[in-house]
Amino acid sequence: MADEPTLIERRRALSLIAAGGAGLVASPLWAQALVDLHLPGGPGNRPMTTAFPGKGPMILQRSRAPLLETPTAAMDGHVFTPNDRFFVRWHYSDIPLEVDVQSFRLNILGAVKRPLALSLVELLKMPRFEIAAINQCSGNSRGYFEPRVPGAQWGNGAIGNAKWTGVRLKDVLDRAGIAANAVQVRFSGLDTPPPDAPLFAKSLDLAHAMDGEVMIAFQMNGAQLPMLHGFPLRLVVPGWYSTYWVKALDRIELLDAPDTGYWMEKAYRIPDTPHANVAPDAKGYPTVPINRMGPRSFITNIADGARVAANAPLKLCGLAMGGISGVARVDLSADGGQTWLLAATTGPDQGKYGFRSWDAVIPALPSGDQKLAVRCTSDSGEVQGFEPVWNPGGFMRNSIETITVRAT
Amino acid sequence: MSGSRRFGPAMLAAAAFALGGAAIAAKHGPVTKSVSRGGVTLTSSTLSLPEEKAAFPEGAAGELITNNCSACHSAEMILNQPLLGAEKWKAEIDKMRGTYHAQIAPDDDAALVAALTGLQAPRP
Repeated sequence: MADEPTLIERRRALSLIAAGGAGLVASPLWAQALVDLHLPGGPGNRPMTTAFPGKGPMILQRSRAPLLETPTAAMDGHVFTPNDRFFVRWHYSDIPLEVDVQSFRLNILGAVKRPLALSLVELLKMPRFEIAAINQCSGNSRGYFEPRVPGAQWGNGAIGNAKWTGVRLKDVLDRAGIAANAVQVRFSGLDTPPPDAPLFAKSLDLAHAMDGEVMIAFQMNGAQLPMLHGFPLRLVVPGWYSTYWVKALDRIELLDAPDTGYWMEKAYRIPDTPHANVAPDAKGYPTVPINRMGPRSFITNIADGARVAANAPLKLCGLAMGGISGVARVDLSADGGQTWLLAATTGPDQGKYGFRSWDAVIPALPSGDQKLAVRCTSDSGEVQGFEPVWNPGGFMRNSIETITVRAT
Repeated sequence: MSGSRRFGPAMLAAAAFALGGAAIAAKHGPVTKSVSRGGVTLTSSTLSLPEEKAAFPEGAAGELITNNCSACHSAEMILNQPLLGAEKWKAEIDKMRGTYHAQIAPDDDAALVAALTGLQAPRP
């Protein structure tokens, strides 16, 4: 994961820009430094920015529509990613800039017995629950795909974990009364597409929507949702990729047939193969909408390329996730996977959909460049592997992450 | 029917004026409104996005890219792409026009592909 940029990295990046290799960013005053995401083939340099309201230093991937990535250092030691460092991703540039809490309505319509237009007060009166859940972009880590694929060129920081507070989607749908012919539930928000472009809308099967875990959230880590994170309401779909977590949610439509809209039928499709993996020249394979997340793990206290002491104990800390089940174990390897060292999970278990923190001590590293790999096994028995995930959308990367340290 | 995002500062100010609160609104900025129940308060919010700083190189190629691509997204989206080659850049143009109805004149395609691949060519 990306580290906070050091002065040396900044100098290197600036010299790359001077050499014309890093791409033409016109020395923004509000970009305090550059970070190198080490993307294969480049360009991997990104400015850090503090210009977005309510955000601390973030990796600027795109200013309009905003794509802001969380630096690794902001995740280190945090099972819950702070709101001001949580990644941001919008599809369309026309994002909500004002929300009035008194006139806002959440509309429930379509195949229901009683269409509703719920005020925020009405939602706040309903029974609440809390859940810790990881929100991860479908294309998190796309920049590490080889061969590279077009799209948002994220490092590993399009991911965060928060404690969400809200109401059960099930309770809201029950209040509207589900008609007998309903099969899916489609969600959309206040962001507006360009003229004639498809509304950003995502759908879940009715049984999933009614599972009692899918949430209409109004708080994130104990605070109201920041505007950049979808104030006043966003959908939380525990264990599933962020594309379903519709921000500024204002419309829930019960459908009597599967959603054939662009964002379900054409976009965010993955190969219907193990780990969504296909050969780069493969054609004609079946696809399905992206869905559940798999296990992942990251070293957060040491950056890729860091110098460490040789022949001395090395403490490693990081975060792991199981996807749709909890973290069963985290293992580390300093020899390319020949031997593994069991890490200790630390801190309280906040639930199967959130991060677990872990630490481990590598007894001693011989001098030279050493590769450190981290692997998570989930409670349902899924294990991260070394084989890279590849598909043309750049989705679902969850292979073992390896960093290189220089032991001296 | 939420329409909240269209409830702009001008409308808030007009409403405040109608209620005889123009002086207060002018002095304290937009009217702050909240709703609360059961220990949770939600407060009306606005978002002010920063100015875009990234730009394409000066010249005809940069202008062509800016004119055709910047209606929907800022320059970093293109500057951050890996080496894609002419075929993939053409596919991106087709996607932007076909799916998102980007106003790219088909007559510009060849020049736009050349500009995009040229942008990624190593410079001396």
